Amino acid sequence: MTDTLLFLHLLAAASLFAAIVAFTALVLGARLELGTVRTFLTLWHIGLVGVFIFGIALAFDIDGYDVFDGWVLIAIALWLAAGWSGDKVPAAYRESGGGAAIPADVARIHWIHVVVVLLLLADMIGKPWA
Amino acid sequence: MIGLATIRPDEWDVPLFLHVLGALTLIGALALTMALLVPAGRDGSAASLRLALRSLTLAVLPAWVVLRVSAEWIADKEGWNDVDDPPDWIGIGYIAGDAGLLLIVVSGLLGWFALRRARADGDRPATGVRVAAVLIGLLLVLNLVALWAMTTKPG
Repeated sequence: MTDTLLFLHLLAAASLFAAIVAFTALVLGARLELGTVRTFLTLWHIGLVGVFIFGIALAFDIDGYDVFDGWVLIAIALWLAAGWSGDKVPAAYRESGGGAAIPADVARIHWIHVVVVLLLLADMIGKPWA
Repeated sequence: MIGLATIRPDEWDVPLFLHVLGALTLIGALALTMALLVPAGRDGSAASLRLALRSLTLAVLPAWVVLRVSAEWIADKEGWNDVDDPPDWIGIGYIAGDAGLLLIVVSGLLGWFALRRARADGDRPATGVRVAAVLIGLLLVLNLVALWAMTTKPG
């Protein structure tokens, strides 16, 4: 059960990373079809919800972990920040009809999103105050 | 396995962080490359093919290097390099990793030749690009299997 939850947790993370790679390409000037961007936005939503659900399930499932552990609370805060900052690039791209460059302020939010996700991953590995 | 994860030495954290980061970025970059190769093979879009080749060289290849180097680093830290008969999940990881480089190189060459032909003769890239898309799709599946093996640790 725990192994399956861990696999699903990482599969959701992979889905999230696929979207982040695609959104980074848009920020760097790549022009993708709007349908492709929509697909990656769906992957981003699936990944964001999946990492949370399976992450919380793992915290309940594993002896020695608790949802009120420091690293879990940090992860929830970072997850909320990732949720706020993650879908700005596809929204801006769709608004421009796929033709214009991503505005600088949206690009800045994207790089914050990337840092937040990296911190989330570091928190998962390091587990401070576990 | 999870019990072990909770008592994992701190010195394993950096190679493990890089390994997971490399794996997730590789899967993401492969998904993007495939999403670009499919329209390039279907519609003969040279712009999509050019982007797919950039994704392959600037995202897939660096992610593969991070994954592979950190895999060796963490295997060394955990002592798997000294084991004569390693468990199946290690073997699956090595197959996905080493076959991965071959598939990346072959796909890159197919894409590059198709793009060169399109530039020289104005041909629409087709068969080679479709083969490259299949190879990248295969590598994506291989990496998802490796992700399953790393988390469930069969054998």
